[in-house]
Amino acid sequence: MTSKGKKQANKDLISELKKTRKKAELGGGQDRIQSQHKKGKLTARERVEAFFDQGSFREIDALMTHRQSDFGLDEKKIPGDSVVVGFGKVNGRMVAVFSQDFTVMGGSFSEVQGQKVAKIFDLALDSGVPVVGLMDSVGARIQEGVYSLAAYSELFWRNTQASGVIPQISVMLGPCAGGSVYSPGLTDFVIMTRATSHMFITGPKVIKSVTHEDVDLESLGGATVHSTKSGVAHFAVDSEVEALEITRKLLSYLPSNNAEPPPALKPEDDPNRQDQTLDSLVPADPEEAYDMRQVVEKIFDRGSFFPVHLDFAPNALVGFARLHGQAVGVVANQPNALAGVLDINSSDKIARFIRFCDAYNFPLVTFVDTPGFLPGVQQEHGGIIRHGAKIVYAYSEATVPKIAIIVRKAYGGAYIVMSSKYIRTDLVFAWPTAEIAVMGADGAVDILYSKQLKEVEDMEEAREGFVRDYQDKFSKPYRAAASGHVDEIIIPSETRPRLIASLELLKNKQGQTRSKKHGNMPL
Amino acid sequence: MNEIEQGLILSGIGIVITFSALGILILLIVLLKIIFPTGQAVRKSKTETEEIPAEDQSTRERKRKIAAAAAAAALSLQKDKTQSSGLGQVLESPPGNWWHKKLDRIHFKE
Repeated sequence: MTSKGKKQANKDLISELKKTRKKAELGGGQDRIQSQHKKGKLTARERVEAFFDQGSFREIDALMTHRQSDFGLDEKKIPGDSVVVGFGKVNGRMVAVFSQDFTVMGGSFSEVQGQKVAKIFDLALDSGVPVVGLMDSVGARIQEGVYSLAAYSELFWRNTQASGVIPQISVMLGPCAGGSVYSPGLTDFVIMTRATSHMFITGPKVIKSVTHEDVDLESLGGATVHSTKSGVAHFAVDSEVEALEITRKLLSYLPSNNAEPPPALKPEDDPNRQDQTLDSLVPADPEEAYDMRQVVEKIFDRGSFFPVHLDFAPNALVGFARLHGQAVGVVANQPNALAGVLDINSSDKIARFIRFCDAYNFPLVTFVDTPGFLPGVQQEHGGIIRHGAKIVYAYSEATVPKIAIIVRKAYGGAYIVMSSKYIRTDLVFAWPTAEIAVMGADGAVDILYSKQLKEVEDMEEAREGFVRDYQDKFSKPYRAAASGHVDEIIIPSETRPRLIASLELLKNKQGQTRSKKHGNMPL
Repeated sequence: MNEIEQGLILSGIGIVITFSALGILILLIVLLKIIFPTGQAVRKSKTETEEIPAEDQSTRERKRKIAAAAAAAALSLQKDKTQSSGLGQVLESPPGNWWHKKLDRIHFKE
């Protein structure tokens, strides 16, 4: 072949590749793309482009096709099948992604989709980069039978292997039903879009036939339900663009893997800043509520608090924030909701967040103001013991730096579980408003002085006297400080510089972990 | 003259020259001190001979106070530079080797 002929042959080859790429880029075709747009949804590739830093996405396995022939599948071979996988940069840091393509057979999970996802997962796991799944699929590909189920299993297995090694985020942008929900269920964070995404094990029709309950798609498995009631979703947003934005923001706090510290930003806020409004923020009346989020926002770097699971179990507040640029995990009781009590859901919320922070090297800062665990038959029968124990387990197991600030009430068992000194919290500070006791003064007096109260003439006056005595003893933190149960009583406005100095001290902390396969957490 | 005697004579000459030079140097220093007396010595001789007027004394006191204040300010400035807490500085760099040891233990279960 002549030199000109060789050049032409190469040109033809490249042209052929370009054509095949073009076909792969179209996915299920122009009609399906338009139909996707009509539903207010982006295509798999549009999502990927919107998610990554401009021009940084690199696709792999774009030409993989399935090998099935049953049910006419041999006539439906589309390069890339029903998922787009690859890697790119988010805020300059590498992230792996798989984006299910609804235009190709409804994004159904085929054997090939499983192989592609498994490959990118393995690459991410070996390289120590986070994995983000952009989910939009009808579920398993029925035509493929057991091949599809096996592919799902491979994903679930990898989800589990990667747990605690690389951060995993599921962004729900369409339906996710049946067994397929276990993959997002296994990941660290789930982000859902309202109206367009749904998650459930069994759909409304099956529920109707089995339990005769009438329920629509949105009420069963919509973003609002999962972000407020079930706690499956950590974030619920109105649009896909918002979902991708929140994913990028979340990633800005997370390290790429468990061997890295969380990324620190150049500090912009004054480390010595002391917000004087903190000194009067906690109401003198212990029955009066206030917003713990305000406390958190005034202490941490301005605008850095990023709440997680905000609408689920609102009596607890968890999220990421920065102190002098350093990312930390924040756990707090929220007196604005249910007086900040601990119940089943808030226990799960707190414990899961602590475990994430410990796995990925986030120091933990805890703000305590809780009157205790929520009493009630429903809570007891729902297993509050088991769920509450998760908080103790998570705090006790965590080896990252742990700092606690007792803001106001710290009563009974709730005091112990909320990062007390005894479960190896490194530094425990108390504000002058702190009350550390077995229970509130009124309840304690009724038990301690029941006999005396029956014998006195003026019961009310005597009772008031006993309550005052009890309050003098336990409604101030000095007794706890005198016995070393609290490391220091601090003025609220001093909290920020105190925390920064404490983090500096604990920066290189080495936690003690006993050698074991794994513990047996009360799940 | 044998070699030992020659060596002893040369050593003697060397010692004489060294000590003579040292003597001349000391003499020179003493002479220079006499010709150019230090400020302290001059003041001492002046106080011994003259009575300082009251007016001069208050001026000197004021000057002394100004000098003391300036010295205190300079010290304070220097202290600020060398002894500031540098709050948060440690957090601006990644964790040290001590921290990484912890990770090794977790990963490899020593």
